[in-house]
Amino acid sequence: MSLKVDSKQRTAFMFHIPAIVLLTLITMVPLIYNLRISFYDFSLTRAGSRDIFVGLENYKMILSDHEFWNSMWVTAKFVIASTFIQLVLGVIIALMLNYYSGSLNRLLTSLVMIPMMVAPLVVGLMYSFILNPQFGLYSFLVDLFHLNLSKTPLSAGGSALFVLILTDVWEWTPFMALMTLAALKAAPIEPYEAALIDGANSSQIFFRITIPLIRPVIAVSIILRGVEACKVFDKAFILTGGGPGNSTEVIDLFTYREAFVKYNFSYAAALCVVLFIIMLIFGILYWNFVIGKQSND
Amino acid sequence: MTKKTLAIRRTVLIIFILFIFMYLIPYFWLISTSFKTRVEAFSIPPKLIFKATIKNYRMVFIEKNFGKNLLNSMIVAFFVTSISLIVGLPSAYAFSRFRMKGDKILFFYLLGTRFTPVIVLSLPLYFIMADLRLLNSFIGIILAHSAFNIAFVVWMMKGFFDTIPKEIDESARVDGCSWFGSFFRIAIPLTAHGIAATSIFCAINSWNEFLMAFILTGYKTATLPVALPGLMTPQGTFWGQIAAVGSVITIPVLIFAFIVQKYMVQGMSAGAIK
Amino acid sequence: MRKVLLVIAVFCLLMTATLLVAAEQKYAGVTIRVIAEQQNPTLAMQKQIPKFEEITGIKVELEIGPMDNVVGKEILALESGTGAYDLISIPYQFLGQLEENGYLQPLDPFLNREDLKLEDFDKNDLISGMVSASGEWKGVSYGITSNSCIMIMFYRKDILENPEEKAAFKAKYGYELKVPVNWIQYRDLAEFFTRKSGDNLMGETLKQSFYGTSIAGKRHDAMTCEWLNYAWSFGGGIFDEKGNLIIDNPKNVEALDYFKGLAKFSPPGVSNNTWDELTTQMQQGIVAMQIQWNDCAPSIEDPETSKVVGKVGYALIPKGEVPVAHFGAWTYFIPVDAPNPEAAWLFLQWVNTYKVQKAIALEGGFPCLTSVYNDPELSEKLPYWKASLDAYEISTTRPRIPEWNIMNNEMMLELSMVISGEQTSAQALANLQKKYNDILKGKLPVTYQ
Repeated sequence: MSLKVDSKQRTAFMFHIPAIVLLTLITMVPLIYNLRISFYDFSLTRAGSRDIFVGLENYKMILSDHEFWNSMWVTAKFVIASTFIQLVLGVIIALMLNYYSGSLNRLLTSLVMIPMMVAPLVVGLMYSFILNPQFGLYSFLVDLFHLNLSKTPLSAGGSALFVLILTDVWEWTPFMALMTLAALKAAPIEPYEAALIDGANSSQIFFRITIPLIRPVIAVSIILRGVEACKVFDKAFILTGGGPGNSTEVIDLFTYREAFVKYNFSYAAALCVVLFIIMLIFGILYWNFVIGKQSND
Repeated sequence: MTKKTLAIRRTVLIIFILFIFMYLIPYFWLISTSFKTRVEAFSIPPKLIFKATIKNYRMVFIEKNFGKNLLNSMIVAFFVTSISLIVGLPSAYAFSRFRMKGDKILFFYLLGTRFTPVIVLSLPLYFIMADLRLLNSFIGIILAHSAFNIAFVVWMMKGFFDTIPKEIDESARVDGCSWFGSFFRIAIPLTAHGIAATSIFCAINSWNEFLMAFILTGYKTATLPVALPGLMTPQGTFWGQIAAVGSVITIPVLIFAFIVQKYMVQGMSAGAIK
Repeated sequence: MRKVLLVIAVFCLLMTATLLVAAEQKYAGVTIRVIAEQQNPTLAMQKQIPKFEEITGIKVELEIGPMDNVVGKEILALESGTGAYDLISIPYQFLGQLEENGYLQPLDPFLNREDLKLEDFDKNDLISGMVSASGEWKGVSYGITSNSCIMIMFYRKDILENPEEKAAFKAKYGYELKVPVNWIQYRDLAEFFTRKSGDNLMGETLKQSFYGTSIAGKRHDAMTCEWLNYAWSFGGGIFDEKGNLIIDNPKNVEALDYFKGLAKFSPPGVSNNTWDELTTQMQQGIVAMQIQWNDCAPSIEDPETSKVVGKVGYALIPKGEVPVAHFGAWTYFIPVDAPNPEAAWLFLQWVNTYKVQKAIALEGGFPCLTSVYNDPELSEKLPYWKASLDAYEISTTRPRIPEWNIMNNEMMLELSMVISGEQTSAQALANLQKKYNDILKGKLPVTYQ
């Protein structure tokens, strides 16, 4: 018996080996490299700085870096607002889609899917063009409908962040919608039947049955989206470049700038380590939700 | 269904369709801009009906050599998909069929790669590739994209492998088939649809990616998204051409996504929903 | 006897001829790797490369890309010392950093080698002021200018010459409408020509708003490049003659207030503007004047994309306390780890020969050769030529110290916060003074830039 288990273990390991090798090379090694560089003073503006050891100095600098904290705050605002709006909008869309079935449903779902598939960079450029104050579609519509809105939302800090959130919502709400739709479709029918027999009205059905049933999926979606929202680099880069001022300087843009514009590689590496740790925490949360959920089933 | 309910359903449907249509206007605008001349693209009021021209496409893909970038995107996507599959499929199968010591850790690690911000990996890879003189080559970007996609392949395919009843394996084993044979000759053909869908997702992920490609590719190996900002020059921004490239970046993705629509949720949720 | 002498003479002649040819052909078969910015002059140069390959048999692999990308790659390549490039073109403000890190080869040894002299290259034809600004550090010559440009003023000459406008202007401001020569006039014109849709311009009703000027207000190099003109012109700047930091000087505050004040005469959305947007706005004909790089002028004169071809005039930037013209350049350097420095030198000479420089000039580049500079065909053909020449006479260079890159970045941030209204000019410059003091700790006063 034990022989069989051993050989199974070995076989399993053989199946996993290519993945383990590739992942170690491409992810583990770079992460360790990051950690290592973060303890030095490497900056491209100073030759030989690659080898100057400074220990935890970079991390201390991060903690006292006013712009780092601003960036974290901007990212937090962005992630919370974006995820929340996507959630609400996504659930509504999912409910609407669920209302219809068959080929109509397929058609509508295909259309809803489109924004998600557009490359984030292209989304950024698309909105950049539409928001052009001189000849953009947005400016024209503001005039046409005599709206009391600024024609240059990208010029003011608050509205620029709002525009960034809007582009992210535009792109990813379909994700939330489709996830919720899948959960709705997978929901068992018995609770509904029982509720109808008991004479519940539709709002009661919605809040007491539907929502709890799809709650786990929602939770997972929130975490997934929350994490991926930190990957808003493409759009931020091309739409605002972090400005005006630093009002849209999300954390990965900030890190990019430190590394590839200011050439402070060690500092940027330390930032990467910090970012990684934050994401790790999110990962653990996700793990608990997924594993917790699976063990509950 | 009563007449009233039917009427309500119809009204809601119309509102919903209008909403979707308005939602998609920015994208339609992009496509239409790619077919407009510069004068028409900038005209106020914006033109809905105009004389379509393919000049932008010709200028950017032929004269500005974006055709090469298109080819680069295809090369990278192809190799990334292949490698991700070759490496990910066995692992997914193993997760489905075996319980190995430490596979939870591996699974968690795979999760980690999906959650890692791209910049966290791009920065050190930049150095490592520079030291290995691989900085502007295809190898760097292909390996990097593959690493990100493996987690994806494993998650998606595990779900598909799980749908094959274990009894089929058992009977194959009884007949003297090895695990590898079972994997190759039974599991793979039975999940062909799933594999196709997974490949398309891998290709799309690589095709759309910007930051890593921006950092790791060079003049000769730049993919389409990387070359795109080059159209914003101090001498003016060529919006028509940007729209043309944007359209070419997005339309193949839409076509493929439409084909694998059924598996869309599985792909995105990747383990969250059964 | 005579026959023998004849044979010897012919033989010697043949040998000399071979030696002369050999200078060019010495490195035939070698491949050199050059990297430069993706810009019109570079593209113009790229078209000429086959000729170089013919003359020398050296193959050229030219890598081009947008500025940030290229600079990052170059600096990393130099730092890792792997010999990735034989010749690099990099913005001249990096000279201090590159020199101090020991990345560059001095050019004098090459200049003195007769066996490497390219036939058409004449080192005395190089404009010494331009070349020393781009490539000389503490008396040693390291590079030759690759692409140069200078900031001048663009203005709509058709509008300024319009009699109706002239009359109205004189009535309002009390002096003749003409090309502004100081900042007070510049502002008056900017104010005068900012009009709403429905107003009159040159006797016609405007269908969309028109603006007196446009400024680059995005958190970007474009803004600091433009603002430095105002700062220097108002008598301010970053360092004084002794090298002390004077960024919070009241003259700089005045210059920044003035710059910000121009925003109300600019098309809305200045915090989105880089050279890009400024060029487009001028091309679309909605702006009367701009402070711009002269290498954007060819786009203004391009009938395919510009509505104002032939209507734009070019002149020096208005004079404040002093006349200024911000000088910009990319410089060719030969790295110490270049695998084929001699072949690179041959290429560097070739780029700076009359024919090549003229070809580049015709496509929107600017030469560093006096002969091309003074070529009458160019002054005739290119409306921005004369203004450019005048501007080059008063070039003002930015600091080329190693810390400049980071300082520039800080300036971008602080200035963009002034444009967006988050802080006052005084605050921004006080912040910069503090930041610069930190960055330059131990290196003040900066006696060499």
